[in-house]
Amino acid sequence: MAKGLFATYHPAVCMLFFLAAICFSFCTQHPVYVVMTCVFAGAYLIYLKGARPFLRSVGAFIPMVVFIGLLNSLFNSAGASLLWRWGPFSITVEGLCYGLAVGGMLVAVLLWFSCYNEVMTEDKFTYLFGKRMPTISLMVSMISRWIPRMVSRGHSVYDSQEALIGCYDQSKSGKVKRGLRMATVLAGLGMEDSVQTADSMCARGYGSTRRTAYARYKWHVREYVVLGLLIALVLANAVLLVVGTGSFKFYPRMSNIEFLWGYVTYALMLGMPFLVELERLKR
Amino acid sequence: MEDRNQHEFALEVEDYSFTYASSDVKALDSITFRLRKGSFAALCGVSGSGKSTLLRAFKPEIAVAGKPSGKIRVLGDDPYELSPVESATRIGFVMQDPENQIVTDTVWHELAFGLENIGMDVDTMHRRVAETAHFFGIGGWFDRRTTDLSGGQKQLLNLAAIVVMQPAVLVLDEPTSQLDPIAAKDFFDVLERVNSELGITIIIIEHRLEDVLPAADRVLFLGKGGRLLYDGDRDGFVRMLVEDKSGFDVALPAATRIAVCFNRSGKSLDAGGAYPVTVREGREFLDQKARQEDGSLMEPRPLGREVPPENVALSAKDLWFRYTKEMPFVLRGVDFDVHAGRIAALVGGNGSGKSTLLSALSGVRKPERGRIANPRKLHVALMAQNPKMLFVHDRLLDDLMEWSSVGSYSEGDAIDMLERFGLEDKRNRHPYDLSGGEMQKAALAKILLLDPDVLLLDEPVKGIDALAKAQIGEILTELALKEGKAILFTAHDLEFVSEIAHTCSMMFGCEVTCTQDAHGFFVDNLFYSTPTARIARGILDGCVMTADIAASINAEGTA
Repeated sequence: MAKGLFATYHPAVCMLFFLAAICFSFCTQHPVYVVMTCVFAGAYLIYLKGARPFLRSVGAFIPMVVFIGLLNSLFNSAGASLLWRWGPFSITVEGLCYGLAVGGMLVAVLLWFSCYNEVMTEDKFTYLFGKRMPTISLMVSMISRWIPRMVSRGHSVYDSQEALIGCYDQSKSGKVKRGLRMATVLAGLGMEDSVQTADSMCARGYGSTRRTAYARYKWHVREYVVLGLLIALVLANAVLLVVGTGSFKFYPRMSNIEFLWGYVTYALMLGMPFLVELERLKR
Repeated sequence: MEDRNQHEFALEVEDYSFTYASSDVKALDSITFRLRKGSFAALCGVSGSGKSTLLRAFKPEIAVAGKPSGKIRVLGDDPYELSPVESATRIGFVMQDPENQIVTDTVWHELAFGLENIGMDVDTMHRRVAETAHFFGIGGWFDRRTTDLSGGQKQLLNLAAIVVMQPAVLVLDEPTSQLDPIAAKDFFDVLERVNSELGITIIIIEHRLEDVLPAADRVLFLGKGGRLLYDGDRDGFVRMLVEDKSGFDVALPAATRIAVCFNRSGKSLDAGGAYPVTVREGREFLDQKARQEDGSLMEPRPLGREVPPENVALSAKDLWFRYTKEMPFVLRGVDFDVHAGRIAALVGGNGSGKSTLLSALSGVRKPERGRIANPRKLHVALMAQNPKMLFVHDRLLDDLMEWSSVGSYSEGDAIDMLERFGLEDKRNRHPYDLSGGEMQKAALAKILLLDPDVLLLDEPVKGIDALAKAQIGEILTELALKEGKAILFTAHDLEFVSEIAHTCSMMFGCEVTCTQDAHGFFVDNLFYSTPTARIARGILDGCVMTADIAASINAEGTA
């Protein structure tokens, strides 16, 4: 169970939030927007999983940001303020900043996906789409049960055949042969199992009528409120982006950074997981 | 829908016969019986007597293909004429394998699965699932993933996922054969509650008469050729088995077999006295006998078993093992020797590390610390828990020949081996079509063809009937004593261990806590011992097998 009140909201609300956060992060390279989305995504990840996993993932992302920033500035010499020139390559302040903004954008998207994984567990996903696609959601559920079973069974088959015939042939070709044999055994066992699983499904009336889906989540007033807020903020931000407050020119010279109302709506939207915690203050 | 309450009988079977699609011989031969609502019936029978076929006939969705004749009624209706939803909810079916019956990935989804299938509305579904989870005590692991459950929990979940649909009749096909004894007991306790508190009619196929007889108020016994040989109460069933000497009496509970010993030695039961079934009844019986008999006639004379001399084949020193660096240790400082010419048993609860120790001893899994010495470079063979894992071909004989080149044996050797295991007439069968006992024997046969010096067997008698068990026991004894092979096997069946093992070791918490000669082990253990030992404790001390009791009462009597 993920930490925080936001994770307890109806999966549709969480889904909308993450969709919005990820899409908006992709849509703008305005430095303030990029910094905001990075900060909120990072803060939420720390809140969900603690500082250590956050640092670990950021540690992996930073080289990427630097790499993209350098690469962009190396091959894109459109900027006006020259920093350094070497043969055909020239590094400009604008190019470097643009590269950093793109890198930051990617980092934000990755961080949001990490948060998504924590909050939107598989059962929430299948719940959301289960009603629309009962067969697919059942398949997802069955497959996610089947894979770990196959892996652990593969281990036992491997153990037993290595112990029996492994000593006769330790060559590469012998190992390949045994690998193939293991696949045959697993396939045979799998078919045998699936017959029994099918029996178990039929015995419990699978296919007897239109399926319904067990719902673990209900809509409460607070869910409607947050959903309404989210929709309003998404619309507001979308409008503001389209009319141009979120656009930012890097080339040939960077625009000045000034205060925009768009920052407020954007922060409110991305800060939703923290805003819902305000409910605690009432108590 | 018709009112279910107007019928007196949950199940009615009249002159029912069945022939498999592929054969002309009747698998079930004019069977007739009626089961009152709310009864708990045990369906017993020798292997291949058509028990499963009979039970599956109640459920058209999973019935065996073939030609049936006669009449079957479930609460007065022909199951073939019920609507699919009605059929799904009226008769619940629990099968043998806990693993394969589970369809979905989470416990809550599995519970809801059947209700989703019959299109139940969400509010009612919530209520049913909650009620059922509560009844079965599943609340604590409601959110768990099904792959993380123990075997016992899985089978309880399967039962709950059927009961949630509120069936009138519950049909179970050997539901506990894959479980360890503790989990099996738990399962039976819950099953008895389902019967007594919910009034659901139960009919169950079960090898463990020890567990099922105390619960059943009705016993049906199928003989060879699918004929119903007995239909009646428990005591009549026991008497029938004792008298007909078909060999099935080895499956009787220990308490009953002890009483049978007295009976056969000429000291018959009190007139009208019912045969004891549980350990408590067995103790009462034995105690009463001890006070009746002249002291000299009943003296503990356990047979004991000579333990062959030490002859180290494999030796593990201070083994520490874990599957990955992130996981906890599964073996902690295990010292263990396997001796040639001896049968050693390894017992202990699930997850105590038994299977891992076998894997480590086989040399497949390298320990993190410690080492395994195989000074004479002996050939070690490991038999996995699931015998199916050994087979890849469509014919049993082809399968046995799979390793003929590496193991250098001929087809004649393979046929001899099949004969040794009494499987010669099964040589053209598909290995997967063998019964549990036959499959286990076939797997052992395949391994023996490689002529290993050390045999490591993981639960070789799991889920198989008493007759097949006895046969495997005989072969293992022969292999150790006559051919000098080193044998180490794990088992949950303590009776089997007491009957064939020379030494017995107990594993607990990833360590081997003690190793002792098998007889001494069961005498010294208070709870973790054979039912016979628990019955005889304080009355005929030192008796751990039925044969010990027989010796204790016979010796003087015959002299």
